[in-house]
Amino acid sequence: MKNGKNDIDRRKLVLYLLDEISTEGRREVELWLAASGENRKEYELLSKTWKETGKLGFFPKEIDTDKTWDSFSSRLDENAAKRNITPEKNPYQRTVRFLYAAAAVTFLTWISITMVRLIQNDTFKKMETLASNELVIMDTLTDGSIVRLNENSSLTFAKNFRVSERKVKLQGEAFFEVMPDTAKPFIVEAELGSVRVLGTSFQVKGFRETDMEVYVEEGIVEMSAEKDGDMISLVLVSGEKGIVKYPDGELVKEGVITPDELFWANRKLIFRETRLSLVFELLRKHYKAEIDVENEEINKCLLTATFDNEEIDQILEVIGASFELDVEKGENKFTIKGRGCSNE
Amino acid sequence: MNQTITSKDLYGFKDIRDFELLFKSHYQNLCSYAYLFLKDPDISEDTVQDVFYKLWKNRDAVSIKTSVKSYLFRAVRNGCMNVIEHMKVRDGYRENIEGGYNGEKQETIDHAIVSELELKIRETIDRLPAERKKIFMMSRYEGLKYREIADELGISVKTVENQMYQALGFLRENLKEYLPLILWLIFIKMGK
Repeated sequence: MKNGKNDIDRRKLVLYLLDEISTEGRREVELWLAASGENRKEYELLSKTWKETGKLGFFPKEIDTDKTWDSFSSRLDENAAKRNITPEKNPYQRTVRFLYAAAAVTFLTWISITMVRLIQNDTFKKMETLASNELVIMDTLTDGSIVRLNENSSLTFAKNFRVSERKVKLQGEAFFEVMPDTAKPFIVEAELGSVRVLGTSFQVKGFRETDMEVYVEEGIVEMSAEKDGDMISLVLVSGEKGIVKYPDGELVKEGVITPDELFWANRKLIFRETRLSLVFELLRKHYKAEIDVENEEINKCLLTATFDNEEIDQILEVIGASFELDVEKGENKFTIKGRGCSNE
Repeated sequence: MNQTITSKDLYGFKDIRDFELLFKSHYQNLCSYAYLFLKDPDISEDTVQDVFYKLWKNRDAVSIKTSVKSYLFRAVRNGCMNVIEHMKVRDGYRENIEGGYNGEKQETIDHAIVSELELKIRETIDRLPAERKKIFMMSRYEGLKYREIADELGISVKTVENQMYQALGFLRENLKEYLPLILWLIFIKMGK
């Protein structure tokens, strides 16, 4: 495996940062990042450089946009004001009209300026909440990221959250597919800790008074939690899971992933050397199907496979083909026959 | 590059109020962008206003296929390039116009509104060779993908990739002492 200390083409880091990289390259960079703190430090410096150079704020003098607009828009008016002007009857009338018009313009300007100010103030304060009750809901956030909220969960974020950093607050369980934008990290805060991402898909579970769990399906995230006043962080890459223990805030990486971790969000089942007994149990649960196993030896087979939104017939067909088993389909019931995997 | 044109696609500034909002939300950033090329605040503002003026005047004829924002940034960049060309002619092709206009005018900077880091960043960007600087700015501030930059400048994606790699490496080396490194500390802690 090429994840040695300095064993990567530095060009790939730039490609990764700018999201111009191939899937294969992405994986390589993530492994390299996961390999050492030294590597992450190097990458972090690069991404900081990118981030800091991205602020377009500097201009050597103060700009008053409102004033500039006022003088600029008068230039537009001169040009656009070739309207039909009906000849006025007498000079007095003209003056009165002019005064009316002037008053109207002032009033309008005042209204529009106030409105813009009000809107600006408001968006700062305005928070939006997305909440699911009994049902899983899916929504697209303003930055294009997609979120799926599991039952009884809620997500709160600022309405203008694309402006600076993308921060959301989660209660419950959610699966995110984050739009890459290295300049504006996507941050999920839960009660026990937070997750910082650069564009990836992952899920966060943070119900009240339970452990907080983060599972990364693709990409790389940094998970942080406070323990005894110290901020502790952990980097998670594709396929990894991190847990913040309730209530002491201890942060650990967990090796074993439940195969149906993401089933609620995208009907995905991920088996890694999983005993068929467990596989069948999960299939019964999620597909509400009856599965009979004729021979106890069948349950001992170990399955490694990922099923992405497949029907149960297809899943069982794949399992049957992998272990030379027969799958008989009856009325809403499957019967699995065969020798099984006794000697392994 | 020319934009193709139909008015109904124009991202909704049907009236002056929409246009005002567009102006107010992008003006400052566009000026900063122009300033990176031109290094003169007044010429920068003029260039940006010119872009808005033309956009308004031709509002029935212009259609924007990308987002309005990328349209504006591109238009400002092109405007800056024209100004630089113009200056070059005016100054009799003076040699020192690498990467931007270097007028005799000493730039005055209000240190209350520009931080040390910002100055350093700008200075470092200015030290990039002209072409590399342009590519970096298109990527960084216009948010263009490598392919889009390559197409627009008529160069290969590999060249863009290479230039960006060089540019970022250069910026990193020159800015690393100035960058805040909070995450860095966190990473060390978690090493244990």
